[in-house]
Amino acid sequence: MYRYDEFDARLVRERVAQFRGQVARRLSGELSEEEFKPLRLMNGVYLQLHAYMLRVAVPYGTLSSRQLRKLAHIAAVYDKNYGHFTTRQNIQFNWPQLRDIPDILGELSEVEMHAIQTSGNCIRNVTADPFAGAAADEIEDPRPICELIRQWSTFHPEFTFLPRKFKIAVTGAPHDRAAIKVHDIGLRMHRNAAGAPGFEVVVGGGQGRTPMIGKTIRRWLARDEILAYLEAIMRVYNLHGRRDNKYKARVKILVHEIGAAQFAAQVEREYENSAGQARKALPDAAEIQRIARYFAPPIGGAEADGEGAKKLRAARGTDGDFDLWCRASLAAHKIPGHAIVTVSLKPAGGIPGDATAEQMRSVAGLAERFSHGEVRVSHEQNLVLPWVRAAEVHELWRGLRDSGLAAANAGLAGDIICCPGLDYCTLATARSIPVARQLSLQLGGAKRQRDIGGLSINISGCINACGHHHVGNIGILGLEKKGREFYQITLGGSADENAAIGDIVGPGFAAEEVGDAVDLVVGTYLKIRRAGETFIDTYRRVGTQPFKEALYAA
Amino acid sequence: MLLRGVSVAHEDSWRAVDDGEDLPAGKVTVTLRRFLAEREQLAARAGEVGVHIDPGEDLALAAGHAAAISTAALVSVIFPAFTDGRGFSVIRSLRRRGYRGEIRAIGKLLPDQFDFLRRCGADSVEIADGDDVQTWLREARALSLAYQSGYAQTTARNILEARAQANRATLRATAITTPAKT
Repeated sequence: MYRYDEFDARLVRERVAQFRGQVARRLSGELSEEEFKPLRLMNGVYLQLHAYMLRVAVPYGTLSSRQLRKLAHIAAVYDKNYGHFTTRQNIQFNWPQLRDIPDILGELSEVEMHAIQTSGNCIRNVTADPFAGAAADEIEDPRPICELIRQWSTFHPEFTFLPRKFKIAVTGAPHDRAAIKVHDIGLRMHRNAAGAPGFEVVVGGGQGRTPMIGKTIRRWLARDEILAYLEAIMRVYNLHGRRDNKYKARVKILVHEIGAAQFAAQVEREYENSAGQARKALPDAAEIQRIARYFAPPIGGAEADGEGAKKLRAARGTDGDFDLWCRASLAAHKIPGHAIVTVSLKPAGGIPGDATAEQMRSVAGLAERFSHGEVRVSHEQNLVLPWVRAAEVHELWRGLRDSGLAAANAGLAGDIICCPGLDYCTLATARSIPVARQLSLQLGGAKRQRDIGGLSINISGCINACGHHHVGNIGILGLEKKGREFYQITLGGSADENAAIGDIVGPGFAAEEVGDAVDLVVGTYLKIRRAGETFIDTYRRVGTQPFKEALYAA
Repeated sequence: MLLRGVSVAHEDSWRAVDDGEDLPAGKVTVTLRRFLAEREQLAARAGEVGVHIDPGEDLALAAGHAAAISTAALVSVIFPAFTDGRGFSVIRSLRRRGYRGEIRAIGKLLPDQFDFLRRCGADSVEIADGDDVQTWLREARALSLAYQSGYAQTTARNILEARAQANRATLRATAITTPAKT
């Protein structure tokens, strides 16, 4: 993991002091709420329905046990004993007092964390594959590039007052676990003809009220050109992105209006003009190496004898519950004899992405024992332990079970992605959490979910789409008409390398009908699927028609 | 009030002149349109000439006339709202193309933007009459470090350079304490 040096640390401390002054000016009345708003938004402080909300950055989703313990401490001392992990790999605290926020930020700075640029119209916290560095299919760990982007984008003098927020996601693997095609910029690592790793640059993806899949503007870009090229993209967007209408201000609209080819040409022109200067100005090779060294895998070589894998197989053979959990939770590791473990934050009936202070401490402790003190946050709002020895998976599972963290539904129907909705959010038009809780109870246990197979269900409480409903295999969008909440269902969305926006199937449903509607959709799929097909495979083969018939048959 | 560098600048004799208005003697700034249309008349005057760039209207025009703009003694970049950050890129682009005259940021700006403006390449900032100068001067120094290289040096030190320097210092210290091998 990256560790701050004296300079990173000083900058964050200075930012805390600066914000402390701004909060004091607000509390004394020197600043009105209106004047305070842009200042607090640059530091992740939102005013929600009932209270201020603080969003803390988890850069590219990587946390240490020490950091997770600090988050638990903040939840216990300053909040109602829980935190909410978000679809952007961050964590939100829903009930802090404004006067406490400078102290919270001070505590975060002790563990190299902050809330810088987790809101506002700036380059937001960069996100990445939660399996980065550990995934079997990975070309290279994308996190050194992410850390470079984090540093480069922090308090950027030119790009901090953009037309709208700006999100960058990076993956180093062919299977996209970072949803890069629905980000303002997505970077996908692959090798060019000469075998050198570089990035495909995808621009203009996004969700919200105008969902779009990003367009490729560069097939392959050398790693050491990334920052200069990003600078060119940002300059074109900053100068030409629309500022007349906040709903048309994201870069996806600019790319759509002038066309990807024209946008690419403008970026390339800007890049050509600046390339000499910018390349010289980049962090040099020594600095890039300095950062990369922090991300070396904390485990040594492969286990030669295969004893660990044997032990794991034996435990799975004798313990059915454990086996079900393994089937959902384990992913293939780069280093034989190890596993990547997903810790589902989606217990049946629970609030997706929420974790209590005790649970955070448990995971921190288990990560110390079994994962070299490292934890990841996934955009599916789960936690990941990336460095687990196969021999110890069973013991880890028992520890998770004791903390109520052993839901066997990662990647299955119960792994619902959900925004905070009308229970917290001022923008929401409908509740989303109660729908998710009800639905997760109705979907049935681990066995049934295993039978259903891989299926993503995403719920948003308004068209801003924070629950990513557009890219859910089943998307549920909460809306409001004449004082009544209703829920529109979309099918066929996908957030991976085959990213797609879901299709609306028909009129919406009342909150109490959503569970039955999803049941009908799932039931239809089970009836018509062919051997080996997941839900999305079947949907792509048959389209909306059979599902429409099931849902709206008179 | 005008700030230059990180201090209050007292005299300022630039006068903004509207399109169609007669040109007075002394230093004047005109719109980009007029600057381009009346280049000869403006050059024939005794006083210096500056130009206003309004990112809301002038982006395409400015891009096509970089060479002409480079002859202006002053470029004033207008910020119609503090949330409208186009001016930062306009200033940065002027500097990257080699403009060496004075760049001034005018319009609606926040004290928190002062150092960003200077790092992009602005020399001076016109602040609103009601603004507290002390807040502006304090905010300019709130952060003593910056990650981005290739931007202008201000009171904020470049972290990459600071790191390189620290590394060299460590190497020197190691060289002193490690006895030379014979």
